[in-house]
Amino acid sequence: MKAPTPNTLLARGLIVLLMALTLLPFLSMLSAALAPQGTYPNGLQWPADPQWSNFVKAFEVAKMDQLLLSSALIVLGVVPIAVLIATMAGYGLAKLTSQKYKWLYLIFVFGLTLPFEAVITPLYYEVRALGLLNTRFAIILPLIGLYMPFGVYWMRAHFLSVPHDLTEAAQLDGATRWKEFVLVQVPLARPAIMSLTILLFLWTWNQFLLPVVLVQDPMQRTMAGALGAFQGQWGTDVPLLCAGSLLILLPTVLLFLIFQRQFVAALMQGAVKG
Amino acid sequence: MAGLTLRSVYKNYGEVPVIKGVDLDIDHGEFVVFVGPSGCGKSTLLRMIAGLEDISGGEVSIGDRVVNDVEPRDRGVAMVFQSYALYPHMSVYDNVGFGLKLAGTPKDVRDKKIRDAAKVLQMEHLLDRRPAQLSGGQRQRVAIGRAIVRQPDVFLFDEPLSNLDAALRVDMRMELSRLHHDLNATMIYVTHDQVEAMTLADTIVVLRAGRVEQAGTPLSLYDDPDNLFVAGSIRPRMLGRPLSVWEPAPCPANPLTVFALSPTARRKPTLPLTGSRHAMATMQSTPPMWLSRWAATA
Repeated sequence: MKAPTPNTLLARGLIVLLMALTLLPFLSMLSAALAPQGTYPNGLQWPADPQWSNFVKAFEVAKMDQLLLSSALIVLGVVPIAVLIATMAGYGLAKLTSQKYKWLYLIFVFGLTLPFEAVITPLYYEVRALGLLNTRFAIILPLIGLYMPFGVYWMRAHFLSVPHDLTEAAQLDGATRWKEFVLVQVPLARPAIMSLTILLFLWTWNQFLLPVVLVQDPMQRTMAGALGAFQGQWGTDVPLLCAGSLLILLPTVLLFLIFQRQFVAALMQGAVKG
Repeated sequence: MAGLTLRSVYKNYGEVPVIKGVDLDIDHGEFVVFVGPSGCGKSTLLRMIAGLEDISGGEVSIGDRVVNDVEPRDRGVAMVFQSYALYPHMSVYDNVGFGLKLAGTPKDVRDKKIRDAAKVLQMEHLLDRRPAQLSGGQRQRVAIGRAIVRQPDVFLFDEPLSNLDAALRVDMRMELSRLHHDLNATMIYVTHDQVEAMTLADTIVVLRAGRVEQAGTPLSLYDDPDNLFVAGSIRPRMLGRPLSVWEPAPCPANPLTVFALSPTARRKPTLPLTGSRHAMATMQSTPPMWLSRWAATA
């Protein structure tokens, strides 16, 4: 092996530093989570007697099992439908739209420029008018809509890159538009659909503002949203709060470890396609 | 199987006319080649026959049926694309059988047809592979296989050989010619390569700027071009020379691959000219430099 040059050593040093900076808050949380109850740990030293039971207690008081189920229900309600609609709309805008209606796509791009926070107040009144406040639908339905600009943009970009010859070959082979979509376009779009699924999953799972505003009952929220309620209730018990937060983080981290390669691919794709 | 008729066919892209009134009669079983410089509308015309482009005016009939408003899938045509357009996520077997599957052909019949096509094209050992695992020539075979399993009335080829290297192009040319003979099908072929045109065609259609300049057998175009443009398309290196000096002669060694001209042959060809495909001339003596260079690039 070649001896590393000073530059690579510096680069590696910086990476290690960055890693430490990223991990430090979590380690600090962990040390605080292991402190005995009733203390106010500063999070800078490892407790002499680590209280692993704090995690069990946090799991119980936060009703983590119910929260997991609630989060899963919300993700299952949002992601498949959003991905399906985005895929179909992306195909339609990329392959079925004549020159005259290309501007339709701009409406979706316009949606990308709207900050989420700007629509939260009108959204509240709308959800209330629909009588959906305090149900999971108050999270699911708005999220599907809010993901459309990005989802459609993402899938359209993919379908534009599929050579037109394939569409024509399928047509000559006897495929209707619908069959071409199902049998040719969707299988080819699998990488794009996978990355979109992963991104939407992540955003839904980490959804905080929407559940906090639209749903009062923490048990109907996503895990991250429930953290808000947890904090209000147990804000003075720092070890318990830290343990609970770490538990809420855990599913995302586990999923990331399992789907590491797909995650990175999804993010890289975003980098290239801009 | 069926012939094909074009009656004053027009095509405009917005205000721009691309095809300006084409009349053409193609008999059943004929091998027709469209030649012309790029942008002359030959691919557009082919795509109009396939149904991939709208027809702005006139009539296209396949057999006795006017197909102007018929969907591509119902026209009874199959097309081989320049890019091959194979489905990357399917095996060769599924690529070839896709059209049959869509048509709801029973599985055992489908299987037989796919294997028969694979046998004809000598690609039985490739059936399990994906297109990405094939060479250019193999992909071309698959694309042709996909066309022949459907037993269409008309085959359409859009510059199918232009992505292949010179040696392979010669092989595939021969194979296409054999296929045409075996299937007795109507074939329409677009190329800008006059060697391909001369070796494959029963009828050559020379197009310029959306109009047919001349249509006829290779030899009639060769011997009796209507104008300088046709002469230049068919025998580009002959311009400015007295035509009588040049006479085509069949090539006994390799009738399909060599299109050569005889500068010394004042006599009639020694072998009978049985159709244009065998009418390619050969050298009586050593070939001149330009010809060997030409043959090498063809």
